[in-house]
Amino acid sequence: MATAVLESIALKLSDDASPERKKAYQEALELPFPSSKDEAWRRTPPDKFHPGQLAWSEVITSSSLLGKAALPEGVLQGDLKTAPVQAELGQLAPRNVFSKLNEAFWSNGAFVQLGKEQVLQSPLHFEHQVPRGGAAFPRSLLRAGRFSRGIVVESYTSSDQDTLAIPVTELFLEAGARLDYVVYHNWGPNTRYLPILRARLDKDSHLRALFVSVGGQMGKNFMEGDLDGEGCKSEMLGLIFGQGRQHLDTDALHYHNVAHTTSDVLFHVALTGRARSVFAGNIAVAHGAQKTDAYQRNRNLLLSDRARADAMPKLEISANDVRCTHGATFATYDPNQQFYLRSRGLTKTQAEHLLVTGFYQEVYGRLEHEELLGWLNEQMEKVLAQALG
Amino acid sequence: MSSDAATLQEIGNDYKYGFHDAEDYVFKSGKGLTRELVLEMSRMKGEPQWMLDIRLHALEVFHSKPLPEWGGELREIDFENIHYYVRPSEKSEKNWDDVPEYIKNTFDKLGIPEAERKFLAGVSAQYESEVVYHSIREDLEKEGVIFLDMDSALREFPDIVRKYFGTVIPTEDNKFAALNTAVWSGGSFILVPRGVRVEIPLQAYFRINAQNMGQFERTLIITEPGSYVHYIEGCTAPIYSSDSLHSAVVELIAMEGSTIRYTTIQNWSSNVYNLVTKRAQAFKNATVEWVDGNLGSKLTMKYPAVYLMEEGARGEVLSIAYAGKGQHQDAGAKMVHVAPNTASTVLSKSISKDGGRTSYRGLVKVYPGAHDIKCNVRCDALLLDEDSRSDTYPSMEIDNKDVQIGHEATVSKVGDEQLFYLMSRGLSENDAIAMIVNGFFEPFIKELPLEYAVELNRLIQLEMEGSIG
Repeated sequence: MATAVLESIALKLSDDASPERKKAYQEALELPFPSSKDEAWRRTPPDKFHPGQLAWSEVITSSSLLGKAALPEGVLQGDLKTAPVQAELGQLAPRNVFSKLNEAFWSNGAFVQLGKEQVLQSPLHFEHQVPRGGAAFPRSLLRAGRFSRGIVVESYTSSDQDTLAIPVTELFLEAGARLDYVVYHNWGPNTRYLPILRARLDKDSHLRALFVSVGGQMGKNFMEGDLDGEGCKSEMLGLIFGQGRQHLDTDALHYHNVAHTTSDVLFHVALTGRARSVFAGNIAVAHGAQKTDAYQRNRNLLLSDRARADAMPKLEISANDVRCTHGATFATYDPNQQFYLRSRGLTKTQAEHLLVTGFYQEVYGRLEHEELLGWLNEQMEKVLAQALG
Repeated sequence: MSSDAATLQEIGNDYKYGFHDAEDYVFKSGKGLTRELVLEMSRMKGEPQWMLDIRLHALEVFHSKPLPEWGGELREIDFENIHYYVRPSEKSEKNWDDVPEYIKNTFDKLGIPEAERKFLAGVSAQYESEVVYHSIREDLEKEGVIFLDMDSALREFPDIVRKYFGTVIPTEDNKFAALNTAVWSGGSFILVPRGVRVEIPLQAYFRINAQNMGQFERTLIITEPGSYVHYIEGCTAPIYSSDSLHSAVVELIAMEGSTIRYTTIQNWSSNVYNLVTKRAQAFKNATVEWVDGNLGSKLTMKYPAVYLMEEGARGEVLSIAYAGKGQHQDAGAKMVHVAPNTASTVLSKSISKDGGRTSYRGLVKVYPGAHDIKCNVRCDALLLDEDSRSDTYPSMEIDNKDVQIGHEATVSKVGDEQLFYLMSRGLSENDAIAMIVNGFFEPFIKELPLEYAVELNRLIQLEMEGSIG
């Protein structure tokens, strides 16, 4: 058990900070800082995510629509700072030193509230930018009301200065709500990022959350879904491209708390250079959560001899009338495929590029919205073109 | 389903082998683990100094290592309340007539008929800590196969034992390997010479009898190039009121082109802690297969490992686990690919019922430079009632790109459609469940020699029949 706490951090709250922030700060100071003996931190050094002497850094958030359809009237959206929901933050985020730091120091972030039966046809895109080095704390809150539908995209970028980013996102899906959520991490080369996402799903709601990571220096990603209402379904998808010495460690957890719920995890990881990926998933089925249907799959495509991937897909099942499966695979691309492509005149890197794009298709296929897919494809193409040519 | 649930409750509650004899021993150590005990034990066995040194070092390692915090609940083990060394009779018996009557009684109750005993080759029945019955068929002796209990091997072939002892599982490996190294007694030693195929499985029956007695066998099997051996270990133990500890260390060394198959059927009574370290090294083109059945014990923690040391080596683990009331089977497999062009397969099947818990805990590791690796892991779990639990904790560390590695796991209950179909053919619900369970274990059972397959089938049948009565 880790007992060390935050020491000598440069982050300080101003005297006129809200009581909520002061309380969260106090808790952050009292909570244990993880050690490499903790199961979740065995493969990623926790010290890299210590704020240390980093000063607080601003987050700039802007929003736009990725489609032609206009925003329907009555949808509340914008910067979380000005939203009338500040007292409701922190209900979902796990209680640990990082989420408490965020609660104390968050500056900007996305806020969306879809009312009953409201439908958001165009994806709403929030761009978060950390223009200067330091410790940055974006915070987002998305609430999908009863039988509402929406698509929300968040993307993160930062400068190439030394940065620690700890974004916290809470997603609430009320009964019958349907939310597609994409988070695109394209951090600068000297940024360590520790995103925390937690979703709560009510009866018959459906969440499809796609985590995309192409940037940053080192990442530790926590995604958790609470399946709290019968008939709900949570999908957690991942598209990861690692190059150079990038390191990304994901913990994807689904808690099946009631009967008749479905979860589905699909993470496709492609690694080149000396990149490293760690994927740990868990399906936890509570006693009495009968008729649970849960999947978890992690596929790793290793493009280089020095790339490394670890997978720990776990199952903890305490109900018997369930169907839970998980799988993990590791492979390099089929040399025959590459030979074929090269015989058609493609260079080695072009062939690799095409094979990686093909490897990602299954995840792309889960997304339905055309404009969203177009946008995502464009981003990924840029990254792959730069890395693979 | 309610009548089903009620009758299923009874499965596995009657421990068939839950009898025990009155105790009658030549020597029984006091309780607790001390330096004096280790010195006394080594002196009584007349061991060379180097073995005593290994034991004393291991004792220090055991005391210095903390209890593992993962896996099963180990804090209830009272190390001070265990007899570490018991010797039933003065020396190993050469022929069956000299075996003490009360030991024969135990085997009779286990249902090993006289005819079968003669039929079985090289039976080495470990009763308590010492081997009391040990014979090798003459043709094996002619071929130069050495099959002894470990204590005799240390006396007769000290150089070979010294060369390999602790080379696969070092003393420092884990707390329980250190415990075993400090107080080991009995176990089997097998050396198969170059090119010899031992066609008949070599077998040993292990029994724990005395209350609060730990059993710490030490087994070492070496197959020289091109040879083959199948070793079978089966365990049953009487029920006692307080907990027993069983902590074996098994080391296998398969040299170039040889094959070792190691079959275990573990059916300790439900108060035994079974904390076992099993590891094999497979060299060039060698094959090691662990066939591992865990049916009994209170807690089993056992992860048979194969280190694939040279090109062409192959490792296989085939395991089943059954956890009934109060049982936790924390079993698994480790495949460590050190060399290129190596392959491994793991198939694990488990059943939990009456609040029992099964866990699969496994490791697949591929080192840099170990290219062209194939590995396939499959874990299936069946949960028979809503109070039981099944966990899967695989770990894969892949450091090379030219690999084909897959892991699959499923957890489910007995399928409604399967039940419906069988019942529509006139089977009762319990018969149908028994049939499905039998089918679920089939890939394991068909790998066993006939007499073991019969025994295991009978055991499953008995447990499932109990559910009707």
